[in-house]
Amino acid sequence: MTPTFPPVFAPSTGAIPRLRRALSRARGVLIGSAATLLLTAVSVAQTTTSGPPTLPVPPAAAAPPDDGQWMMPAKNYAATRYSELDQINGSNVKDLRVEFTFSMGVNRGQEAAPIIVKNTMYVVDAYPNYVFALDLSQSGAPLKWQYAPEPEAASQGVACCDVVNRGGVFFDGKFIFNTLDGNTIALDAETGKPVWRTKLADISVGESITMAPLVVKGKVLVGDSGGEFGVRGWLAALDAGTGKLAWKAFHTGPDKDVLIGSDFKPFYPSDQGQDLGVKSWPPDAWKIGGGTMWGWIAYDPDLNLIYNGTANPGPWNQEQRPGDNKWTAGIFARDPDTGGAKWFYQFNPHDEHDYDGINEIVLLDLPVNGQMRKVLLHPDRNGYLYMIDRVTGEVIAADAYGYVNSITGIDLKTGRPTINPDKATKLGAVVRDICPTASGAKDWEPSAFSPRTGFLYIPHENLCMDWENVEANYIAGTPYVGANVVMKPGPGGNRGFLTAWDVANHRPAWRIKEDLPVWSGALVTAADLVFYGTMDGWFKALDARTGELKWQFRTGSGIVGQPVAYRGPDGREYVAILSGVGGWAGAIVAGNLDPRDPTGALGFVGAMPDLKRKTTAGGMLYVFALPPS
Amino acid sequence: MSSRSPRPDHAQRAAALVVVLSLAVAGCNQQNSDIANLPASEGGPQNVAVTGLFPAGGVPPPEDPRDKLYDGDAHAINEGQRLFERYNCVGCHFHGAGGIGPALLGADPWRYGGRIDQIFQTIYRGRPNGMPAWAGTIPEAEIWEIAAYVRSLDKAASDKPIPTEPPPPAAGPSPPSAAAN
Ligand code: HEC
Repeated sequence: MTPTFPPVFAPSTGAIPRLRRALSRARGVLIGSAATLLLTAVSVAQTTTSGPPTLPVPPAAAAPPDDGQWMMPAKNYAATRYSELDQINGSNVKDLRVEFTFSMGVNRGQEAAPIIVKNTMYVVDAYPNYVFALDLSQSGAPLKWQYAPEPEAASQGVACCDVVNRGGVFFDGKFIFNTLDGNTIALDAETGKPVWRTKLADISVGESITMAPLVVKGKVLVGDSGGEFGVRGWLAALDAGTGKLAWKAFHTGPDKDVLIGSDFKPFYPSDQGQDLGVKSWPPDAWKIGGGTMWGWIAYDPDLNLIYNGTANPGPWNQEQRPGDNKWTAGIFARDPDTGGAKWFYQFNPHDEHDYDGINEIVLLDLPVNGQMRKVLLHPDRNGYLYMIDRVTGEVIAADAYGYVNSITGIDLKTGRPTINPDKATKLGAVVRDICPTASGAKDWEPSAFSPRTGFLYIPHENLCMDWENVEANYIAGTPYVGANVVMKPGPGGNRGFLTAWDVANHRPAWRIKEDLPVWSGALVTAADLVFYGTMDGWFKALDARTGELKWQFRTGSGIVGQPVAYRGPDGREYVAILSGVGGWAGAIVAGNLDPRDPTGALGFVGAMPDLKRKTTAGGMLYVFALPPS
Repeated sequence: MSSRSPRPDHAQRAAALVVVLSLAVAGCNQQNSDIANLPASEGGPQNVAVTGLFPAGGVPPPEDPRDKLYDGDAHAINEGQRLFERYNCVGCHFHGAGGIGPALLGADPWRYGGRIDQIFQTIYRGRPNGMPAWAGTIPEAEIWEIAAYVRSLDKAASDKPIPTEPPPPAAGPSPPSAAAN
């Protein structure tokens, strides 16, 4: 088989069309060193940038004009994480400095996005999930209120990968967030007093909640975590006014539980049929088969469809669950009013490597072969960036954005990945150098898209792993995994990348190598700056067109958060990020794990023994601005 | 192939118990066999403190006599290792590095004590921040064996160097960085 790794191109268009056309044929195929040299030369020689005729744009209804606030983690329903603010730009960013900080009081992985509405910033802590409201109208942003939801302490035992929380959302005067022990809580945004609290997950069977909710048409969408505990995954909708359950769609089991009815029209034959959520499993295995939803949701108001991925099937030992294991490791389009499924596509049928499908989904409209298409982009754990028709579920393109050897390609006729048999996992055998890892070519850390450059800025990993299947034993409330995994750096040794992906041309425009996995989200602004953080604490600003490092600041701990930009009450542009290493990749520090056993934290400890001397645990909000003029 | 019964079967459990006890009797000295004949105490060792602070001149409680029967016993450790996997301890603690639960190799100081009777109580009663309570699920004799294994992990690790560098990268193509970093 041919290992795939997309070549890197200069961000130019026009200047070198013939070369580009020739090279585009090599897409997805390893290029030789001569070609690499040529490309490097091209990227150096290229000086002018003229935009292609039509850059991809997010649908207007899902990405309204920026009002300077940041009300949901992904910025808008199209999930672009693009700020129209441009005060901080390439020439003055060197003067960016800390405006204020705030201690989260918890030294665990801080994955949340700060939420800014009017003159208040809201942040959710890692477990025990304190919520803080800061008054931005006053100097130093003093605490306005705080709320302690008091999740059950035992919930820490069912959090697979550090006790993280990916943030809350503002809707209709409320701040809404989830707790590790499975509650969704709405607070009065002015007072911090709870308006309602609904328990959705049950820790005694291994369920927890770490995702950030999204509110669509007055419904709070929430999914569960626990794919390593033999839970049965679901997405639920609560009434935003009352917290009452409106609908709940399971991701395994009979059609009626999955909310599959006569409206369900999946594009590919392998997703068509009755009760596949039962039939594609050994008897009863779907009841403990995973398919959770701890990641991102997007919404297209024009089509009235929400999109969400589903996580890995369980146990990890694939030999215990022959079949496609529907509806895990794929993506659903649903009607937000009823939850009814419209289509489904499975990235990884019968997943063998823990390739969850819950990474971000970015909605864009762009011409494909001269015809405008409504698409969604999804950089999957399996290392492929999918461009899917969001009306029908047809895969338009799937390109490797990192080094992949577990899959040799995606068959666009059937939609199915072509599996490399050499990297199939087996009972009692150690299969070496499977790329990417269980954590994927990228994990949850969300990308940002700029309509100015047409690039998707993908924060991601470059890791491989050795994997041995062992028999998994189901004991409710304990891990149901069945694999010994040891991770290691991927080819080249750099464990992370920030890749600027040229969406229209299906290839990287540039990439930055990072020593450590990039586990923070990305932000891009109208001044063509990309912000992201590193696991050793650097918060960086890059030129969005070239990748050139324009500014960096060393925060107190590694960064695994989501940067946001907002306009403060004083009219200035601010950029905010949580610092506090952790998450799966940072568990070795957040949980003080012992690198003498490389299988720790589902194998991540093996790849990160040096993290302990590169950063320490922390939990601090940093907010940056230019000096007042 | 499909889902497993939630608990290990009784026959195997009983067999394991017999092996342990007979070995204990055959292989150990007179004192230990006397201990093995002690009446079973519900809930394992009774006098277990999880602190080193004893006010007003207090002293740590004496060790449970069973400590000696299991601590360092090769057979108990062997069985304990098997049971550590079987009861999914490994899913939270892995092979000692920790993950969901804390490290058991020494990187993290013992929170609830590293004496074998303290470890017994950790397993039996559970601990508040996510350690399940196994009383009623794991027979006491097996808990002792698992506790012996947990203690052996810590000891075995003490002569292993602590790695501070990542392992060598996997082979494969690496793309050039297109921008200065
Ligand atoms: C569901 C996850 C989970 C499982 C399964 C689990 N543990 Fe734990 N364990 C934890 C957590 C979390 C803690 C930390 C508890 C605390 O600090 O309150 C812990 C603590 C411990 C401690 C105390 C360490 C110290 O520093 O004092 C020991 C010993 C231990 N576990 C052994 C075991 C054994 C043996 C098993 C299997 C019988 C097991 N654990 C199963 C999660 C788990």
